[in-house]
Amino acid sequence: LEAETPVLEPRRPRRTPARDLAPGEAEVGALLGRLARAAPSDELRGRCLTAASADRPAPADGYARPVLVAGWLRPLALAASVLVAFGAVQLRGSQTARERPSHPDERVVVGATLRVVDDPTVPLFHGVETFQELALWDRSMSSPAGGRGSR
Amino acid sequence: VGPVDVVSRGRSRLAVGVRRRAKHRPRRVVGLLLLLALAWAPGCGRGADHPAALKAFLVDGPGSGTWEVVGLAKRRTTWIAPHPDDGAWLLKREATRDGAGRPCVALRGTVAREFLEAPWELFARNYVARGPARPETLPGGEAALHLTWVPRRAGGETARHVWFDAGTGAVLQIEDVAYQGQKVRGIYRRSTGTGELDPERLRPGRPGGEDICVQTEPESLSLEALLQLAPFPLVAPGWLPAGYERIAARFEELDDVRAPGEEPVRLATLLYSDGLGLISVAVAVRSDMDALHEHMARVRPDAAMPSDGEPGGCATLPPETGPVDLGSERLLRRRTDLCRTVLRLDGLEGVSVTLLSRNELAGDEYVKVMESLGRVTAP
Repeated sequence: LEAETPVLEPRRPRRTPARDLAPGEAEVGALLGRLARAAPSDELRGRCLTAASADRPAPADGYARPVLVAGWLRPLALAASVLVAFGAVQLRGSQTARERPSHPDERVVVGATLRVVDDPTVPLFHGVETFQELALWDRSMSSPAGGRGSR
Repeated sequence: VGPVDVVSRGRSRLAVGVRRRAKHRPRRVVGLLLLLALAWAPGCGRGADHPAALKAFLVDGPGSGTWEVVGLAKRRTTWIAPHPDDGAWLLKREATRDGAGRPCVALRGTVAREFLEAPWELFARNYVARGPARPETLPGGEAALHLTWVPRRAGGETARHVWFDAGTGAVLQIEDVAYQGQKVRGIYRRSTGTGELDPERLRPGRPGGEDICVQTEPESLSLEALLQLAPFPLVAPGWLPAGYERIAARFEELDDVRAPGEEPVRLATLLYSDGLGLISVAVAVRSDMDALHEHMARVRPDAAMPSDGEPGGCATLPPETGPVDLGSERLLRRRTDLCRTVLRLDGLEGVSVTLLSRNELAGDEYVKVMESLGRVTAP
């Protein structure tokens, strides 16, 4: 079963195709990197690095500015983002269900809910290899018939 | 003269060649026929179909002779003979235990299952023969071919070694060896003799009707039937190691665990296998499980094996005593030695569960099985 189980690999982020830098972009990127290292707050550092990695020409002051959205567009943008997020979740769920193999492993989530303690008072069940055999042993001992499943 | 001489020599060479071919043709034909006969002979030597021979052993039962089955804690010798009239049955008689040596008419499939438990289909699905058969000489001097079956899954542990008769291709012995190197079980044909079995007793007009037992397939319940029978909540693992399936489910009332006259111990048992490895699970109410554990704690290794100690090279841990502080946390109590692991969990759905294994998998796998236990409400 395991051999037939498709291996679900994590999705890799799409990479933007490489392109040549426009004149001045390399310098801007280096400047943003320096500013990020010198930035006093994590928030600012994050913004700088985002701007640098996007390979966009940054303003001369080195800070990326958020995209300005007109006030009447904001509710619309919010609704659209919610719909997109919901759609992504649905898509992910359906793909998982489709790709999931019908192995018993999948029916139960195994959690480390028990603490294992070595207990010398637990018997090692000498003379017994399965509980089924124990039952048959008991039966054969108590009756002269003997034998597994015999009558 | 020269050309004539050349021609005559050429003729004579040709004639000699023809004569030689004519002279050796019968010998070559005989040799070819002999090779063909050897190749087509059923179950013969190197040309034998070893997987088919192993399947025949596991499905149809062992061939006639004296067989010794060495388990985790016991050694049992059985005489096997073919049924004189019906090929679907075998005659068997246990030669080890006094008083239990009644001859049995056994359905062929039950004998190998008695030796190895797991069905052939599951073994064939999860295990594959590795490499060519290697010629070896067994301790009894028999020429054998040794072939190993390994798990198909990656990282599999326990392997099955099978020795086939180099002449007939029949199975001579089987050993299951776990990943730590310990022998889990072994089946050996000790001789071709069938001991005190007397097939003639089964002929019409002969004595021996009443004291001959009949061995058929052991009863195995569905989970639904087990659910109906068990007078307590039934729990079962929801996760199993790769390749493992439930191969048996039974409900038993054990009379000999408690003192005579007391209530029997009621036990629901589940058996899981991948065709070779076994995981045995018992479910009972706490008091019954306590009684069973106390009963088994009294069984010493020397009681199971009077003279030879435990087969398989398993040194038994000394019997220790001493309470373990269980506290209020849910604990999985474990006892393990080289050859077996016993896990016990109490208080799950009001019942106690004990898992019995032979270390055919890494120990964590058994813990995961216990962690996945859940109540069975519908099969």
